Amino acid sequence: MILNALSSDTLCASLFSNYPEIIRVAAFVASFTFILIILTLIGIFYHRVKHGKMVRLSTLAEGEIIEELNDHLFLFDSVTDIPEADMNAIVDKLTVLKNKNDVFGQSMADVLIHLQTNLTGSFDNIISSTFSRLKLRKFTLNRLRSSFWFLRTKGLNEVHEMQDGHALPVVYELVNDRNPDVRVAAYTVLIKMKTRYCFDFLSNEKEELSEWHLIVLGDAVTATENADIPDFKNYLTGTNKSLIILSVRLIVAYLQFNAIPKLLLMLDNEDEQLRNQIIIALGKLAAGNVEERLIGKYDEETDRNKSAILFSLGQIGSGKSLNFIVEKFLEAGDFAIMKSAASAIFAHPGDLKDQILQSLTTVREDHLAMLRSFS
Amino acid sequence: MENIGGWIAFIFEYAIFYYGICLMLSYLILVFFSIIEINKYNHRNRFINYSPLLNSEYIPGISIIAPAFNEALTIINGVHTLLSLSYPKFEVIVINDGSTDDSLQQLIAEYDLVESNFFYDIAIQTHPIKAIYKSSNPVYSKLTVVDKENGKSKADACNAGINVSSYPLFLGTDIDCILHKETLLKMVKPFIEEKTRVIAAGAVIRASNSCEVDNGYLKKIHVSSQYLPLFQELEYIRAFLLGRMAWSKINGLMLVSGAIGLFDKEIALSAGGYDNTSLGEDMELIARMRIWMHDNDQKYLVKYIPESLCWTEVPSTIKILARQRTRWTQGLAQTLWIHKVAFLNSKYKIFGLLTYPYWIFFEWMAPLIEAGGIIYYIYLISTGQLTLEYAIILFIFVYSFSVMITLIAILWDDLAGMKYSRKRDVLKLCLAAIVEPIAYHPLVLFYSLRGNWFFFTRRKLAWGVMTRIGFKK
Repeated sequence: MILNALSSDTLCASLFSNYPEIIRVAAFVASFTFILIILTLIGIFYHRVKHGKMVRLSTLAEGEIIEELNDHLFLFDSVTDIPEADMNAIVDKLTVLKNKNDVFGQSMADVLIHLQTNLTGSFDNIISSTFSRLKLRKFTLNRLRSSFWFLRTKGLNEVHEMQDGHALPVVYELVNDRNPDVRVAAYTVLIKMKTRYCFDFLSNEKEELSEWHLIVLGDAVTATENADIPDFKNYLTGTNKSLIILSVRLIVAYLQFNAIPKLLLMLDNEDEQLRNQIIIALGKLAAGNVEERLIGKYDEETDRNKSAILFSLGQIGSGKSLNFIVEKFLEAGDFAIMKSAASAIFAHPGDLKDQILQSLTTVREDHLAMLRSFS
Repeated sequence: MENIGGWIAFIFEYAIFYYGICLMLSYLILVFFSIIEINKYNHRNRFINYSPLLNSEYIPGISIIAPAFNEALTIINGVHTLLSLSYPKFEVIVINDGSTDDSLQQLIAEYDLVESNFFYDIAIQTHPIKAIYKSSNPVYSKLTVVDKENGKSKADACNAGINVSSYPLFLGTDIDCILHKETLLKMVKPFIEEKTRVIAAGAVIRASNSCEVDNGYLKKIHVSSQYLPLFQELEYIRAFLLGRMAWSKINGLMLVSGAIGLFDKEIALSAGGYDNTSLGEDMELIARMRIWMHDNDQKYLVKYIPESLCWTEVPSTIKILARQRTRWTQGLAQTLWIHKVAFLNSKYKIFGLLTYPYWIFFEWMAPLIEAGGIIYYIYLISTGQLTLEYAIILFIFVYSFSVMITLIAILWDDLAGMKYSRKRDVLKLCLAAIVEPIAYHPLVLFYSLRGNWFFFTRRKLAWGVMTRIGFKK
């Protein structure tokens, strides 16, 4: 009976039963929104207080942890200089801090990961040794096994920041994760940790990756020092267009000139974006022997790729294509093509460029304006 | 005669009431979608590391286009902010739109500008360009200043900027805006992350009136204590965080603010650029770009970022607010009229079937119906047809809903970004939310009605001058 009376429908019905329909609805909505207003206000202030408390606790935790590290650990040049007894004493002290509460534990892991990422030299080993002895890996492993994909990604970032080889079995599992962001983060870890089959994703990944993923992966490869770089032309025959594009970019980054014949064959590919990337790559590789092939392709190409061809010919800058570039500059109707041709002329070495510019005195006003704009 | 009276009574008593209920429901639905979308965004970007973008040569270049008309008080700070953004490939194009103050002279002196032979494509017709300046100092090589004749509209200046720009994306902003250092990195992400072509992206705008700014950098963020800026801050939180995020979720976004919007230049040019006769050029461009994409059978997305990336000085006097709001309403009506072909047209999918009708029924018509409702409500009370008790219930019904939506927006803003470090700033916003329906909303309603009146009577509204106060240091 009491429960029934308390249910909102009955309450409203009994309170407003004598009112006209509109007023009844209005009263009901007003009661409902009034409750929500109170709840939202409580939410705002609860969140403020909770957030403030968290910030205070983490600042305190970070301060204490950094003080301990500075006073006891960072006095040494390398991890081997620290006597075992001292190391144990420091780890015991830090363990007490770590176990104070969850905030301290998490802050300790975060501080050490942050220091590992930003410090170099002998500190590297001191930090990773401390991280390991404090058994902070569990925080990372928990994240790697989380049901939330964004936490798995965060865990993967931590693995490579701490260069934690023990976590690699889990990383290998995540290569097959359903979420592409997690898979890409796993590939990145494998590349940065220079694992044996770290480039297998170039032939195994089935889903087209986004430009964002390609940039992240490209950066992982080029930023990893002393990595065992494969011959990227071997990955040009796959079916995943995004990974072919990544391979083409890596061919350029590592100046793998032996890939040029294969790239030339791919100029006949049906995909316009792929051809565009190959044209740009050939220009960046300054492959002198490909000029004729690029010129031959010019008329069949889209305006975007025509511009790219002219730009690449400028980057090659051998002078052999200069007449062709000038011809295209003079007949260009499209602004982008005219600009690429002008840029290509100006990319040529001084003498060649000057000769051509001197011969271009009686051209249209827009051509002259464009040339003046580059000079 | 009795029948007509009955119908009028029916319209006012039932239709307007249930229209209000529908409007409220639509707000709740928007809140729901917005919460989902903001959560998704936060998860995706909470631990993001932008350094690969900073090192990449494959990232798309961005041209920042910032028109300036008599902005001598803020122009140097503004250009400093823009030049110091974190991004590997960008240029800053400032368009001096026929300023009569010393904006151009200040720029020339500060950045060692010299007239350049810069040649550009007149892809969109604009008022004549008098000169283009580049800096002789290599430190400022990213800066281009275009000096043009005043085109009597921001659209004309923006179009001149598009003509001069050389990158595939352009960011439309205002010179007085303070942008977050990572604005370009954050805003370009949807363009390189989505597999469907993104044609435009917007972000949250906040009022900078009480913020502390030093040399173009935002030092401290505070809620304004001034009457008008405080309520506008609330409006911005509500509109940007709740409304636009929800529309972004269903790819129905129709408005990317002129203060911060990143656009695909190719599509913007194909659609014809900004309409220099429009009073709501930002909304009009998005509508036209969307229609162009549908007409050409191309898939696309318009995205929104729930992060506060732009702080702008909002009107602090009634006179400027009146002009701004009247212009916005007139611009809205104008845009809806120009693109009426999209109304309930299945060819335009979400845009034609949902976004466009929503903007007609719940954005453009809302102030008209609200005004009608208020007049009838007062009539009923004054003629004794509505008892005081019923009148109070009806008032509380509308008032409490309005306060609730604003408070939810404040809560969500706090959960999502936590921009205010001081508790009293949030408290101030909460208090403002409680008085806003009575203390500020009637003003906005009046200017909306005025905008509609101007639209129907074809009265021309001058853009006018936004008098700047400058920033607190």
